[in-house]
Amino acid sequence: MEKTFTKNVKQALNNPVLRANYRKALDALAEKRKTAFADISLELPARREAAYALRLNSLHKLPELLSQLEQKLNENGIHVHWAQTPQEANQIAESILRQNNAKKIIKGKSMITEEIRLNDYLEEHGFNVIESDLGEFIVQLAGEKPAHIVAPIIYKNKEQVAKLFAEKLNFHGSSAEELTHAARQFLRKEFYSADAGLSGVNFAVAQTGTLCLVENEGNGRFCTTIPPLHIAFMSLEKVVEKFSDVPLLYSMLCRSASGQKITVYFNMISKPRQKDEKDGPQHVHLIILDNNRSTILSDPLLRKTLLCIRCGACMNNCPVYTNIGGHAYDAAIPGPIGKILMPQIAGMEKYGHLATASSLCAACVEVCPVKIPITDILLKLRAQATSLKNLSFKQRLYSGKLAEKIAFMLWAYIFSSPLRYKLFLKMLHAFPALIPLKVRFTPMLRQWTKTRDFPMPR
Amino acid sequence: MNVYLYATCLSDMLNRQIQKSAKTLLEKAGLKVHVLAGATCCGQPAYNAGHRSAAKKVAMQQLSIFKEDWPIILPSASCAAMMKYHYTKLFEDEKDTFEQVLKLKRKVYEWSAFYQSLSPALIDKGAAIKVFCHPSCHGIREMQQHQVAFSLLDSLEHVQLLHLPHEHECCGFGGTFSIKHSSISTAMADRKIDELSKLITSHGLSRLVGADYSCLMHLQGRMQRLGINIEVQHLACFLEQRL
Ligand code: SF4
Repeated sequence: MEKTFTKNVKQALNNPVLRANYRKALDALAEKRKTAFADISLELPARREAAYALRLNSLHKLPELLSQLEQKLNENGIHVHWAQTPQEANQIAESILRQNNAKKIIKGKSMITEEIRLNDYLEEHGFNVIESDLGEFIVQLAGEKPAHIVAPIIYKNKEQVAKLFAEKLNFHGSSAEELTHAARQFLRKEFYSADAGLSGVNFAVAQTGTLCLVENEGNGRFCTTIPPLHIAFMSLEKVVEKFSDVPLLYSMLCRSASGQKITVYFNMISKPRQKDEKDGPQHVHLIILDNNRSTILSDPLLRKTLLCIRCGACMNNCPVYTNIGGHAYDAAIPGPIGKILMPQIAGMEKYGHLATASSLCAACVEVCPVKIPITDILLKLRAQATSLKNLSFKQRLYSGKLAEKIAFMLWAYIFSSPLRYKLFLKMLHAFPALIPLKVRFTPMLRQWTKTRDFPMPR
Repeated sequence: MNVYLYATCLSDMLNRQIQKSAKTLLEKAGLKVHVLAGATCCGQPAYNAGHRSAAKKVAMQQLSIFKEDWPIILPSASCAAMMKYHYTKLFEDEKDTFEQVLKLKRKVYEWSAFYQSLSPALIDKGAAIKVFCHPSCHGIREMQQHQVAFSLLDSLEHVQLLHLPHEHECCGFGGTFSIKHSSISTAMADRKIDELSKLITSHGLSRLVGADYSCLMHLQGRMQRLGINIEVQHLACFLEQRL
């Protein structure tokens, strides 16, 4: 997997248009976030602290909140399903769709469905899935994957979108308004003819059994009100205790994600259509996914990964993400949060290398609205990854892990003794010219001199 | 007043002028400076790479060398941050060592911040020059003192401090990151160098300074490779030359 990452990185770094697209869009997002907090800049530390405490409290009480949520939802007529694995979640969705005879599915934006690769699964099983969020719609048209959790098409510029629309929709236009209008026209028909609507959940309120959905385009509301069947997906940490917990988190989410004080739409879903109501789905289901999260919860530091409210601010401000872009991570969730979440939900073997791809600059930690100690978690994952325990001899050798361990043991041997250290310095300064040379020829250190000179000791 | 100067391994190995200048300036400000004998490395390289037992072994050695209760001054924000904020994490489960760690934590200062707190006479004897001061990530986000270097430079009569659009962005060094992910690290440096180059041609920028030698070494190494010749200096060396 590390190989794929290296390859992706190389490709991205050699693509100036892509990098310019990212730079421009991310600068704008980072700037928006900054101005969004201008009116409360003095309160910001206190609000972040409050949001952090509130989320952590929910995590502490997770089992009871989840059972309260389930009970409330059941009372309200929403069916709750539990899935341990992505596979299970997909199968549950499939069987609900089949029971309801649903073939055509319209979908709102949801990161968890990316995590379980729901679209691929459903399409393989004969369903027709249409993304209705503008960005996701474009991604789907292009046959690609979202590159950002809030702004899926951040990697494309307007011209590229116009070209895609001309090719795929036979629509010729160039301004953002024209293109949006074209997508809207196309989607409008689909909303009315879809058999089921799918959505994610931003916050699930245990006390009232309310599923909150944050969006800007109104497509989420369409998906969750027009088709006769609504299936919502959430990972289990999305639950919060009380309704009064929501405003703070909602405000932190909007300001951090898009620089808005509030979004255009805020949906609260609590029941299927009632007898005297004219609209709304007849059936509502909620699928709650674990995917290793209950294991993550048992570690006091790693647990904090699950505080995340998916605002994307960490990626908007990340110099690695800005340079390599979202696709390079080859992960449902890219960027700093992806680096700590993916190895934990999808395995160190697959994503462990992401934890090393950070300079630990902590720009993400600085902006995260719920104060996730991303760098500390990276360090913990790195520490776990240095263990050679479960590796075969071959793996130890070829992964470079053994060599690295030996190098650091040697380093510690010298640097833990003032005497050895002094001797080492003496040698170094006696033959200063040897150092840049040594750096050049040592396999690991050669990575430095590939692109940079090494200073002459003086 | 007595203080300890913790030279840092990077200065010991690659640029001894940094500790000399840092010492001279503190002495000029009236301090008695003791360069810490027995100091090697704060342990950060291993800690950041996840090799905690190696990091501990070296960090333990540092804990044992402070005989007097004097301030410990480091000419590097990242090493200072390691001792001040990360030793508590590295030793969180070691009850026998933890108290020592806390004691050390209270005494650790980054050089430029400590120097400025002495209100030194900043009489600039140098020629007019335009400089950029690279604020390191540890200076900005951990020690939270990067403004100090700016203000020191701003108070020099003949020095004009220039700024970059993305100056708070990481230069891409990041210890083993610069080796393990050399291409990303280099791309990050190039972003910074692009902006620097613009300042060189448009504003006559002629020097890059900073309070963290690791970032400077990285940027300098890359600039040399690209054939961009601009002098790079640790803040302490730059100041010593002019005062
Ligand atoms: S980790 Fe923090 S900044 Fe990143 S998406 Fe989650 S909440 Fe937002």
